[in-house]
Amino acid sequence: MTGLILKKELKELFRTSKVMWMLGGIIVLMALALYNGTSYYQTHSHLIRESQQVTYQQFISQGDKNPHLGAHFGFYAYKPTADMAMIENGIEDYTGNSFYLEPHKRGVVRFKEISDATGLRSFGFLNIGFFTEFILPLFIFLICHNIFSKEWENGTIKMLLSSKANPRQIFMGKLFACLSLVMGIVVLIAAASFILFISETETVGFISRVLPAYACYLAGLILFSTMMTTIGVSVSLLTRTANLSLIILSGFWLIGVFLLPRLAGELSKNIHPSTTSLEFENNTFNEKQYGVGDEGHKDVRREALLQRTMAQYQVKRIEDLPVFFIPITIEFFEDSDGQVMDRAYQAVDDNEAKQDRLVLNSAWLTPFLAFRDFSMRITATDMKTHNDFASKAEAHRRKIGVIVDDFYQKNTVAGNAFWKTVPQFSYTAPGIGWRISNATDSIFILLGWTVFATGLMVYAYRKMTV
Amino acid sequence: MLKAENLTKKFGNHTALDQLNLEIKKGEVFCLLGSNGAGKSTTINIFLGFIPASSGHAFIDGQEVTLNNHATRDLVAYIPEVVNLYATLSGMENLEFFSGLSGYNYSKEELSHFMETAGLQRSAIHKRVSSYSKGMRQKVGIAIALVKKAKALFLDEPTSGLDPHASSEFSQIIMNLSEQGVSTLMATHDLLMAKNLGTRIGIMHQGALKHNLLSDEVSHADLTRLYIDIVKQHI
Repeated sequence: MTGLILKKELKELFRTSKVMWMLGGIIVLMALALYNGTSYYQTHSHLIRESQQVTYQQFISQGDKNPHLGAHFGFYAYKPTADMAMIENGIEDYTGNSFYLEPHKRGVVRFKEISDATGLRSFGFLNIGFFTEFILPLFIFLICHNIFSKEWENGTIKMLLSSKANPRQIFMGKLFACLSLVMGIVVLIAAASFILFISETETVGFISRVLPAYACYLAGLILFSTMMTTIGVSVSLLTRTANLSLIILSGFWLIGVFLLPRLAGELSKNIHPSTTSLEFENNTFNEKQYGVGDEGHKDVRREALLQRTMAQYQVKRIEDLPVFFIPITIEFFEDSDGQVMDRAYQAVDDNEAKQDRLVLNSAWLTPFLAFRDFSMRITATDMKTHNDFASKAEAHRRKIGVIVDDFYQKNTVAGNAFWKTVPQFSYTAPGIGWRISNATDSIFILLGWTVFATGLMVYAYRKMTV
Repeated sequence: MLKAENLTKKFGNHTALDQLNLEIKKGEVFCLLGSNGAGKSTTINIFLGFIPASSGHAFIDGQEVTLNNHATRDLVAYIPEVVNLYATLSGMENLEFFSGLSGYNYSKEELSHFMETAGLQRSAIHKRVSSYSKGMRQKVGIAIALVKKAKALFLDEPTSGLDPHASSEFSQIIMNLSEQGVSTLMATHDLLMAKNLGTRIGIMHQGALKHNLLSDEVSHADLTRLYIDIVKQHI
């Protein structure tokens, strides 16, 4: 029975010119999204790899210099373009991709793509992520909105219900018909992006990093699309008129895609206000002067350090020290200032986490947001992955500081031979286990929505009467 | 074959069907007359299991409809006032679909035969239903009833809007089915058709069956008078 209804529905769908036009449009948009994503990935990954090499090469070939001054020459730590940025670039455009590594200064991530973009970018970047999160659900709703209501509007429901088929079979037949179209698009996305991943990633990286994350992403996409289709078909059954069904489904889409995320964003900023740059600078400046535990002014602490160092080397005068005192001071305050900055950045991260949690909680009202969050976390283009990169880049900066200061204590000039001992920065986004654990909340919310959609489906087909 | 026992349906405070009792034997055509809102369609909807009765019972071939809805659906076919089919499918595809839903798997040739028996020309069978007239759609509806090999047929104003020729063709098919033992419950406004086609005629008003007559024992003029009297009493 279900198969018969599925076959009939597909015949009807494929013979409806409106559906065929929509299908054509959606395939064009999908192709455009794939092209945009690939072009973004190719441009950025190439540029970042090249820039990383060039700035490091300049650093290690800067010639003879005072080690500290040489360290200030610095170089960039680049965040490699995410392996799956071809399909989802998440918040990459807004967070920037490089961190300048030089002494005393905790880097601020620079080169935000969005700063070079035109106003058109505010509408979003059309890649597969955008397509699946925003456009595909709309297409699903347009396909599903009259799948049942047409039976009442055309008067065929009585003929259907007087047959041997029961409401569950009728519902499943129609659901599977809509799902066939939707899954057809998902399969096209999967196949095309799979080919692109293979062509753009080396085999080892593809199997070890991309494939598991890609499989998870597809599982999430299938779950999300199925859930959206179930909601669409159920609403069509419950409303019984195509217009009302379309109004409800497009309203749900509009509120879920545009209004609620923005409302939640504004609310999170009001409830957990972000520290301004000025406040951040003022706070950290004061703490740097007096230390995290208010250990005293920098001058007092420098004097105490001098006394401890002279006592360590059993000398009475700074000139008698067997090592240079300046690098010892630098290392001491690097460590002290580091604690200040760690604490300040941790506070910023904690506040961001609170804002994120509030926004993510609103996904209980909008599944679009839950899938977007899931998509970003699985593709490692989310804020937490970015923070992971930033903390590893900062750790690398400090490691360089220690190497340079240790050298500086005994040498006043550093040549290329020394600079070459300073390690290059390399970052790889965390693996699939970490990503899944990072996406637990959004997975849980998506499963919650799936339970809701299933409940709605059962409720709807029990209401199937003339 | 069909039996209603104290069948009552209430929609809120409104009683759409009030203690209906009737019995339709194998091969009988029972025509239900009555003005709009008399309870004719409600009776059919309860027999088809579309809506539950508030009290009382409806039986098809001895099986209570509410308790055995799935089983009783196998036994019946339904032709509404306008047979609404899937407009983008051809008559043949519609028939194939509904016969499949009834659990039958006929060949294309067999389905064509059913269409022709129902009076649809072979040249029209493969055309999309969107190009069909109302009469042609009714014929597909009959073909659907034929493929189901239904024991009971429910017709709700089936000839309304049909031209006399199409209406006469339709009546002939119902008579043929009656001879084959198919019981029919038909709701209609058409007194002449009820007199010519019906074995029994019921006149309903405000949910109640006011008269249950044998067609042979009542003339067309008497039937008209009875019908008008019933309607007038309540104006």
